[in-house]
Amino acid sequence: MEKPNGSRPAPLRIALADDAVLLREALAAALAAAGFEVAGQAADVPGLLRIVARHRPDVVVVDVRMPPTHTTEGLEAARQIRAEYPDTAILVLSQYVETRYALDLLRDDASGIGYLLKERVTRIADLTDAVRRVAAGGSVVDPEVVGRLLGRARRHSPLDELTPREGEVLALMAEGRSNLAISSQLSVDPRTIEGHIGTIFSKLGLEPAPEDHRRVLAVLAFLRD
Amino acid sequence: MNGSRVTVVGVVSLGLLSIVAGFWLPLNSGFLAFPDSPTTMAILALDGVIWLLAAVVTLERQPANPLWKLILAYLVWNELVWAMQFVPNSVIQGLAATFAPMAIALYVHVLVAYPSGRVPLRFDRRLVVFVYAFVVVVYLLPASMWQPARDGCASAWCPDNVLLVWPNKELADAMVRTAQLLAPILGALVLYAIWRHWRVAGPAARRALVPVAIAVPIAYVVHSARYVAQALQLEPVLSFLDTYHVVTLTVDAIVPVGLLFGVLRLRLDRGRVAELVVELGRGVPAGGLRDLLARALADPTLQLAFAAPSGAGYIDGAGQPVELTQNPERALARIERDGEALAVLVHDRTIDNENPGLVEAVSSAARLAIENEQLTAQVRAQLEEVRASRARIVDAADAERQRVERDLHDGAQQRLLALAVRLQVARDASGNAGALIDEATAELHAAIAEVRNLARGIHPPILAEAGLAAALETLAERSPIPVRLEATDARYRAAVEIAAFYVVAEALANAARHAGATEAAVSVSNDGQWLTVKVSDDGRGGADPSGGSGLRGLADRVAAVGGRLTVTSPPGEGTTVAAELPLQ
Repeated sequence: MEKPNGSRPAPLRIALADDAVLLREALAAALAAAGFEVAGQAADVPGLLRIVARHRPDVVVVDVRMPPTHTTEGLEAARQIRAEYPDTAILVLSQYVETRYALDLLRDDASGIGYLLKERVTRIADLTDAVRRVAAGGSVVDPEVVGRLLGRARRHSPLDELTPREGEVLALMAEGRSNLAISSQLSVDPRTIEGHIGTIFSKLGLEPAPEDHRRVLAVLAFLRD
Repeated sequence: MNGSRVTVVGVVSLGLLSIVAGFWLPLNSGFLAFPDSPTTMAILALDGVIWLLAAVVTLERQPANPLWKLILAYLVWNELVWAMQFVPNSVIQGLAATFAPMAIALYVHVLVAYPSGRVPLRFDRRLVVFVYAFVVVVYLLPASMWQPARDGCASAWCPDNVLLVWPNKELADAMVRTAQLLAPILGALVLYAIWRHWRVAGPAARRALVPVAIAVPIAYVVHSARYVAQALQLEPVLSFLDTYHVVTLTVDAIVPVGLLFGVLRLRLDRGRVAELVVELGRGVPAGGLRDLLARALADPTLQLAFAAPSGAGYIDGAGQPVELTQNPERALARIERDGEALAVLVHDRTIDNENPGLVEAVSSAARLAIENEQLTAQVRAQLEEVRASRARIVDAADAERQRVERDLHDGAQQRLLALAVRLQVARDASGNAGALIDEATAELHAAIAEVRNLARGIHPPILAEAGLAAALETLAERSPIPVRLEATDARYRAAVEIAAFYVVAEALANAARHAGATEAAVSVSNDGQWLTVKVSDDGRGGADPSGGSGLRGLADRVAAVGGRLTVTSPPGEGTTVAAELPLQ
């Protein structure tokens, strides 16, 4: 459809699935206020799949725990949507952080996928940032998942070789941040960040990966083992 | 002379009368050359006498056993009724000749009913009824089609057939031949019935069955050969059987000899009761009473069951519910106290036939021991019930925790999260109240985190969703001290997974909070029967498993699923908490 102002890009279209009505409505209102278009809301997986089939949203935001069993329906839905509509970005929300679910979700193709703690998205800025990043094909991993992976007990790990600053850069890479985002977050020159990243990869013995989402996979795989 | 003497005298008289008639009537009829030699006569006489002895011995030993009546009936039929066909009167002759073959059915009846005299098994009952029907059909029907005067007589005197209805010699002959050909099949079924008795029999019954089980197959071969040879007119076989008539007659006599030997082995063994009393005096090992009684009754299949404490059903010595084996081969003896059932003995029914009164004598002798074991069994059953109820209480508590977690998730947590989002939106529109709203939001986030940790501590959903290893990974990650984890993704029953999870959760919390440990190791392994969960730390040790509600509660939880918890905590050498949990 022709927009009145042709230079402005069309707003991102979002499908929202959560059986908790209060939170879903609040998120929908917040996303709308932030300039997104909420294409549809669902309280369960079949409802979500209908919305995706009909409206082809850019991003699906889905809660892990939904009817009928209230266990991991959202993860199943994410897998299904990924298989049928590979272009649709998915942001999975969870009440609790379970690193295993996050790693399973991102294992094969981290492009356009995110896993966030529910309370994280109550900060509108974090929510809109995550939605935009997955919509752009990036990956979003909750900082708590990264923190847990970094905190796992290890003996004589190459991680011990990293400087504190390199550790911070590694964590932000694992969250799916771009070089630019990392440099602005740490208030450091982008070229310095590139230098850190090169050092980190060589210290950990990893092949350098230019694309952000491939880099996330490499880093997460390293942290998991 | 008492009643049983009178009966014995009656049996002997009737038997001897039959045997004598079996010789006298044919010898004096004058129209049949019988028998062909003194040897044959001697064997036939001996055969009759042995049958009679078997009946008398059975009657003497076991007056209540109907077997002696069956043997006597066979003897009378085989000798007296058979011999009546030599009475020169066409009515008597006709009836006797027609019904004498019924001896075959009585013969089968005796063998199938041996040694109890009864046919409680359905197969046996059907076999016996069928053989009676078979004999009536294949001998009575031809008898109604036979006219000796016209079809030819074996002797000079040719009686008129009083049962003649429709003369048809060809059909009559065909029916008799068919019956002769079918006889070996019926004989095989009799052998099969005896084999079945053997298979289910206890040692006592087998002792009585041995001579019969040896004799009957031998006789079967000779009888079958003769029937088939007659039906097919196999001259060589018939002449062979004729030549060795004495041998085949002797083989026939093997069956009553076997029977006689069998019934001679039936006796009440009072000596075994005396032995039992001596053994009881030495003391019964726990749960060993059944074996003792089984030996006294010579019945290894003996079942000893006690009344369950609930009053319904039965339990074994270990207090476990048992089903009583009930089939026609088994008899049930109740042992009561003041009219209330204490215990039941399910035993081989033949014991009552072989040794009437033995079961009563044995259970009276062992009465005190049975009462003792019944009390022990009841206590054990009640203990089992308490164990089961403890497991149910733990399960109910777990279900309740799961419900509370679900309620928090669906209720308070969602409301708080929604509130946080709304506050954020309000903040953007508030202008100068921004700082205040930020403070409130920070408070709210603290509350959300607290509720999240509370809910997850009450019941970790990932345990049911992804299993023990996944849930332990999360525990390890959240532990303030480094934790090494060794676990596979195998799934176990829910109660075991929950117990294992709480063991690790509590042990890790203790390691970090109280033991001053710097690291811990968690391992999960299973050997197919037991799941072993072990948590070791390098803390100061000295933990007291009996003190503090934490370890005590863990021990209770582990015991509730039938497991064991061991805490090894020497001062200064760290603590190891190990739980062994049954997989089934």
